[in-house]
Amino acid sequence: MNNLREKNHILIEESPGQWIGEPVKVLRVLGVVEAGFPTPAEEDLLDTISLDEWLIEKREASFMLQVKGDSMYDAGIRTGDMVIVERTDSAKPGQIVVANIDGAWTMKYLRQDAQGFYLEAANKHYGVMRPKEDLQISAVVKAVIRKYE
Amino acid sequence: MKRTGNQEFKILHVDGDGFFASCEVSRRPDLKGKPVVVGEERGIASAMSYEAKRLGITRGMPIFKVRQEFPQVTILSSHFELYEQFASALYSILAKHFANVEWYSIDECFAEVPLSYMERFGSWEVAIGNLKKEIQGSLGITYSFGVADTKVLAKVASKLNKPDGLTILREADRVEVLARTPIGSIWGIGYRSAQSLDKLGIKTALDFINYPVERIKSRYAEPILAIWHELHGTRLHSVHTSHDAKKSMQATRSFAPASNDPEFLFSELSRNIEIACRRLRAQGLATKTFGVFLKPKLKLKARSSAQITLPEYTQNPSDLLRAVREVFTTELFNERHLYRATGVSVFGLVDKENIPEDLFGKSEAKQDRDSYLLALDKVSEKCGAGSIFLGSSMRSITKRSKEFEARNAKDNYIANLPLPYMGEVY
Repeated sequence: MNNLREKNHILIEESPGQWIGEPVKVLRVLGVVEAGFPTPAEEDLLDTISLDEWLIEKREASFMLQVKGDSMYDAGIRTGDMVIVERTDSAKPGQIVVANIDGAWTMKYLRQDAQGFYLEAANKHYGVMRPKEDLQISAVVKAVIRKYE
Repeated sequence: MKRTGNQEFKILHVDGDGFFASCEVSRRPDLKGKPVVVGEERGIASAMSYEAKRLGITRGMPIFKVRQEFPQVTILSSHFELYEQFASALYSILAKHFANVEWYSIDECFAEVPLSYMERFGSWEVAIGNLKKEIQGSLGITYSFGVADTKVLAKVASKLNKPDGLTILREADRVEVLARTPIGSIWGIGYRSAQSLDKLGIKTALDFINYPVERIKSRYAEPILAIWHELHGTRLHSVHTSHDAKKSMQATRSFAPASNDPEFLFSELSRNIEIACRRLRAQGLATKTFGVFLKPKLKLKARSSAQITLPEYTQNPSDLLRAVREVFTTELFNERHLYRATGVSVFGLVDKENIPEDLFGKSEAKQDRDSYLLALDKVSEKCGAGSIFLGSSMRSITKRSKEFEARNAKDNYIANLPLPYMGEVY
């Protein structure tokens, strides 16, 4: 096995089965805010969920990208934001999708009309993008994350 | 070793196609379908896309030579963190479907696929085809799949239709396939074994299995004999389920350029020992026997290693380090060699709770001494791994982070994200 690793030039080896990354931090869900106090029994019914689990539905198909530019400004997505996307081959009109256009990742609304699918920015300074052949959609946007210092 | 009837399940082998290069291309849509070589930072090609393979570029080729002879090729640095993220995604998809999955290497997994699983789909082709679709649809890179009765045969099968292959190796086709498989390409047959088998007139895997078993037995060690049986379809190697691999744990890391600086090497070992011990604590395990090694740059040289047994079970890196310090200059380090990796393996792991009082935490003094570690783990959890470390790991950490940061800044890579980073989106 070490020989094989050597052949493959594996540089960094993790022990098998270990999740990469830091352990998930846990946030407690303390019940829906309503008038009155939640009773302990109600609280017990809700499980703790990590921010990770809350943001990421299908972990194995999820990726992150960093936003550049202002084409999705009116959708509340700014340059520097991180987006969590999920790979799929069944994006629906109305979703914000990531497509491969001329060798770069583009994030736009997916739209559909009589002529077929097209991409639309959330910024009136941008036109719509109609594919010459087929539109290659790689993923749909599931979450936007902006961290403040 | 328990032998299980072949009729209950088959072995699946999943193997990445030009894995490091695929991972890089998956985040660089501009490079799709183009020749790409990974390994710029090491100065040699460590992986290449199939387009680059077709040009005749092979693993180990110096980067300057690739530049000279193939100016059309894009040369990239490696991002091991990214590859590990893809690797764990593959593992967890497989683990969702099957109880026994082995994470064999960064781009390979084995799994036991029960016949009952196949029967739900009607055929192996459909069952594994659906799985392949799910994996590739999620990860966005291709793998080659092989299904057979044994691990060695499953490895043969996954190689047959690379890249993006799916091969069900049936008993009826076994002999014909082995006839066109060179013996040197069989998993576990190294270069030297292949040469010595060649002298016996054994060129293909079929020649090998037709060779009388008694004569294999008398000439070769147990592992080669096991391959003989596995190629016959007799299952000897089992799938080592990764999630209960409690018996040992490893922390290995390599670096470039290679080094013969004893302080740096010791600090690398120190860091690995810290990582291994943190994992032990995270899983409530303790070790008593462990091995450390330095891997020389020249592959011909055997790695130098030392096995150490401590007086008592521990999760404390300082206990391990103290012992390593004693043997470092005598048994491990030789200043005439350049080393490219260090590592530690901890063995014979036991649950901390199961250790009798007189063995673990024998004295209150030791318990007190170890209690700070759990506090440190909490700090690391809060402030990030690497925020607190032993003084002896210092050199490793500062050197690594500078190099790492410079490289990531150069190729626009954001490290330490919880998900694979796919670059910028406009």
